[in-house]
Amino acid sequence: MLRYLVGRVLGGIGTLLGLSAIVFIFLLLIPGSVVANILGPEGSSSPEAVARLEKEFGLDRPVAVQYLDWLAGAARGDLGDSWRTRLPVSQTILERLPLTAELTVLASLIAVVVGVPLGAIGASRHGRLADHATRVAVLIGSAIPVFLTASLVLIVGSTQFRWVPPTGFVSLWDDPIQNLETVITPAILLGVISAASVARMTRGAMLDVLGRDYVRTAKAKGLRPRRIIGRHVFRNASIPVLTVLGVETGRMLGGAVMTETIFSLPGLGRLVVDSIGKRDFPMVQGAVLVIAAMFIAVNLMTDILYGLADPRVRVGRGRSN
Amino acid sequence: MAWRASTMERASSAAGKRIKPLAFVRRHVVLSVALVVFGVIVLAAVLAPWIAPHDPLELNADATFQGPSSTHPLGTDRYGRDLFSRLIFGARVSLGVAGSAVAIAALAGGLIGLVAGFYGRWVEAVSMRLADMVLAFPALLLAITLAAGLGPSARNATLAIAVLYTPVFARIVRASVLVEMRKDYIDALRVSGASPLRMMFRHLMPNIGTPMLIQATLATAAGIELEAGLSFLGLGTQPPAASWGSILGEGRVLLTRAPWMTIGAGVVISVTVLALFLVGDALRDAADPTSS
Amino acid sequence: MRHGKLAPLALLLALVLVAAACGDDDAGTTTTTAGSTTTAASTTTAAPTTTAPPEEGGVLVAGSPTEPTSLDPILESVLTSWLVMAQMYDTLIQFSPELAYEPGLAESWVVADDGMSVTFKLRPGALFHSGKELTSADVLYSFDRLRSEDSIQGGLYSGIADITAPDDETVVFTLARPEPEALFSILAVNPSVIMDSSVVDASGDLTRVDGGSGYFVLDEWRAGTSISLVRFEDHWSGGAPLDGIEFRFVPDELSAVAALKAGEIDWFNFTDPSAAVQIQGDPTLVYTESSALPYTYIAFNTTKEPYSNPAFRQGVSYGLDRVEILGLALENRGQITGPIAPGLPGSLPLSEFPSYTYDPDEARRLIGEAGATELTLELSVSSAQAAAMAAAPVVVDQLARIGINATIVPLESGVWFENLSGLNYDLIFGQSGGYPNSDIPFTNSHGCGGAWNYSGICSPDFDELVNRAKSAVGAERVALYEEASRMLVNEMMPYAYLFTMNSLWGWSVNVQGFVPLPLKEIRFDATYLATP
Repeated sequence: MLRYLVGRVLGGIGTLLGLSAIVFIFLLLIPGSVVANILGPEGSSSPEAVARLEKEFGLDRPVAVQYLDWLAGAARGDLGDSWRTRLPVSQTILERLPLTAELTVLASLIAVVVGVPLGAIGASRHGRLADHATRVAVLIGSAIPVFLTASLVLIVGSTQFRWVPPTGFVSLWDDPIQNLETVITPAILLGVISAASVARMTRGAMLDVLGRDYVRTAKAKGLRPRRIIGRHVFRNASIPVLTVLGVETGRMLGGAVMTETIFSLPGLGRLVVDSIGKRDFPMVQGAVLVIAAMFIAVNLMTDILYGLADPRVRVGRGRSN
Repeated sequence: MAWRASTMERASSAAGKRIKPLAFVRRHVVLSVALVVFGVIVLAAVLAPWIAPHDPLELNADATFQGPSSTHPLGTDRYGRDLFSRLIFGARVSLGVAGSAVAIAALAGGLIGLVAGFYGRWVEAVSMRLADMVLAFPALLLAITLAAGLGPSARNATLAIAVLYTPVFARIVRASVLVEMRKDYIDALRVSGASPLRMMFRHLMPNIGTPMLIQATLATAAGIELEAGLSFLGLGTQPPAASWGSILGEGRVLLTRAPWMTIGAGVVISVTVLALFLVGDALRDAADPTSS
Repeated sequence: MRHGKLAPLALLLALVLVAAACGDDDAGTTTTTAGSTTTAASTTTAAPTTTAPPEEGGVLVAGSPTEPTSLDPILESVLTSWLVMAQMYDTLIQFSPELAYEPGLAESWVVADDGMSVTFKLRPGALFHSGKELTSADVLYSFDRLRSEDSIQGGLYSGIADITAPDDETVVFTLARPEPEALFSILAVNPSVIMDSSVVDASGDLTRVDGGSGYFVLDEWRAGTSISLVRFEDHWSGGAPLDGIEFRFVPDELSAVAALKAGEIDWFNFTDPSAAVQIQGDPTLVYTESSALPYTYIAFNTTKEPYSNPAFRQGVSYGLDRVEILGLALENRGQITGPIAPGLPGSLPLSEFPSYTYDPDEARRLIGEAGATELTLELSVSSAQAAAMAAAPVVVDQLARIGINATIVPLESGVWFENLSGLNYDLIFGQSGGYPNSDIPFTNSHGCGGAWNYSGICSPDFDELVNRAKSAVGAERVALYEEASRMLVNEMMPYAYLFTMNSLWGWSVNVQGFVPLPLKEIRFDATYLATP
């Protein structure tokens, strides 16, 4: 197990390295310059101002040097300074990370709270009305894009109910009520969307387990249904559910950018998009690194949990999509 | 009716495994409906120039913000353009972007997976590593980043979505290839001196078609949503061309003045994605009934 | 990629759509309840700058679309940065709402007889936020800083030959040419602010600190969220009515609408009419339009064929139905304009410009004369400029009617500017600076080799005319600028001038005393919140 773990972590780091290199190259190739962006129309007419900014950002050095320099700094934990705000990148990322993380965690919780019971109902009432009803409900919403629902909720909320989620971010410890007020709506929208996958997987896994021999044995032994479900079915069905939750969490990290944009929340997802638009390379590199690291970490944890829950799997397993 | 159907069944089961439309539909109601719906939408996209009542780009200063009427079934937008026509032509763009993106991804990813699975060793290691790197990033965010960086256009949106799904196809194809490689006929072919190219294209490829088809269907559904999302953010299809996502984006600001833009585009996107998703799901169930 | 939702939520969704479709019957005319008006010109009463502040104060929460990169006057030219900085700093003179020059830090001024210098008398006892007294040395220091190598504003001050300070309260600007009007026009606008050298000495620059003397002091900058200012009690005017201002970043115009309606912000300056009009009908909000000077234009790349051919450019101008563009893009929230915006000295009635009359036949003829029939070109536009983005599809349609096949190329603003200034385009949308005085724009944007000349046009006759105009005064000056305008439109046409865009404002009914200026500048010096 430990070897597996270490192997995966090393692999993750390798992936991050490669990703950062790819991002770096990508940023170089795309059109547009941060200098023109900062100086704006009237300022860029001064070649001295342009040259000065280029020097400040180290753009006059060879490409390889720029990348290695950044890499060395990143290894130390120093992700450089933003070209737009002149503040340290790591500081901005740390400021924005809690919002996105909280959004993702809350959405995952909602996905589980909504999805698992739905899937369980479907499984236990397999073939009957409740099963079909929950499946249809899950499917209908499955195709409605999140940006549509988010826009509608925001517009109708502000117009008809004179309510809008606060646009700033207040930490959970400072003011829990405002914090939750900010985050709960996008979290619900995101979580409910992922609940579909969770529901489907729960239902499928439970059906699968319910058909297994040991469950029939337990029933034959006279164990009460609740005991069966609680003790045997859930634990064994939880494995694939955990897997899908891991995948969905990754998707939620991505979907967060939509909700962050529409609800104007200062999160990590929007930071990446805004920074790309402004050609703020250090910020993009740093944010991409952090998001990818989070994503990889979530997948890793899912795999570990998987390995813990299912002893059959502990002996070497590759990641498959 | 019933005896005719059973006679037909017996007759054709004797004749071989041909698909009988009526029985098929009855057994797979949902799938059939989904296929029909999707087919209708594709047909509408193909026949757009002939079935659209107006030119989707035609401005009409006297007819702005109109509600549904006989001349404009779904009303008009801020420039007086007919929404219904725009949605039909928008189908071309949305389906086109998603379709070509998936085609590119399937081609590129398929080739990579084929080669990786066949040759193994460092080819496999490197390509799977690269695939991991792309997959190490949340999909929507990656698409947005690519589109924002390359510059907003339908072409770049296609590229972004293709990049997103190439590693997925690569992995799937590689996994299928690995499964196939263990089979005896491969050894037989190898012993008989068949060239690698022949083995890859003549023998392996046909057998990996099914997982690819399933993935292609699901990827197209996702691609349509991605294109919609990108265009919604202004990063995909650019004005004045219409795509479902850009109509949705334009309609957002105009929700109180032209709600039919949001409703129309929202419904088409949802229905199409749902239909495709159901088809892909059904295909997956057919291929492997034990999964979910 | 799979998604799912509960049936109840889908039902809610359906209800919501129905509600949205049926709702908002009040949205109709532009004149609605609670005193909201559509003003054709900024005819609000002039803001008192030195009378005692009324009882009410309050903290105004103003929405801002972008967070400033920095607050250093020599590094910023972006509007949203100056939204904050204009409240922190003072200029020597300032514009009244009627565009007359008013005293600022300078109490009075005298123009020399030969027009080669202007002497300003500073207001005694004016203080910086740091407590330091403001003297002529600070004026010298500020303009040195503005014209230094580090500054991006240098181009603006090229007409100043020298600045001297005979005593603590007097500053003399000596000019390179006898053009005092030009000097006034740049001294009255940002970035010509007076900065505190002691603050710069302590912090190295002013990116995150306050080196001003203006109505409000920088209090707190919460990155990503807001910037807070508080009233400067020792301001030379006695102090502004407001206790403070919080600039909250609301990047999306729709979110601004939502925030205004929910009372999260009190004030917002819109660029998108479709978003702004959603304020109407809300009894707690006021929707106002005011005429403004900045206008949208389409630049021709005169260094490329066939755009270098004047006949082609004239042809395009005949082929642009400006009335239709203004109607469809802005729903007539603006005015069709020539190179000098309507209402300014030198502006002409549109009848003086033959090519402003929509004539597609004449357009085709001229374009044919230039040998450019069946042309395909790219029409670039900055995705950050809402008016231009709205006009683009209409222009494409009109160009198609005269045989030109145009593709819209939206560009992110940094890329847009690179292409604009690097002359890397066919046709491109742009926005003028909205200067009330034509000296600077006619020299920089239209003159040979001008710093902001993005079309590559060069006409020595025009430059000579402008030079004469800059030195002239009164009626002669106006006549010369009129002649220059005629030359620009009827002969040169480096840009197809289109329309001005009305400024669109939404604020809470509690907000009083806010005076929109026709310039790009926004001031809150007379604003206060009336407690209901």
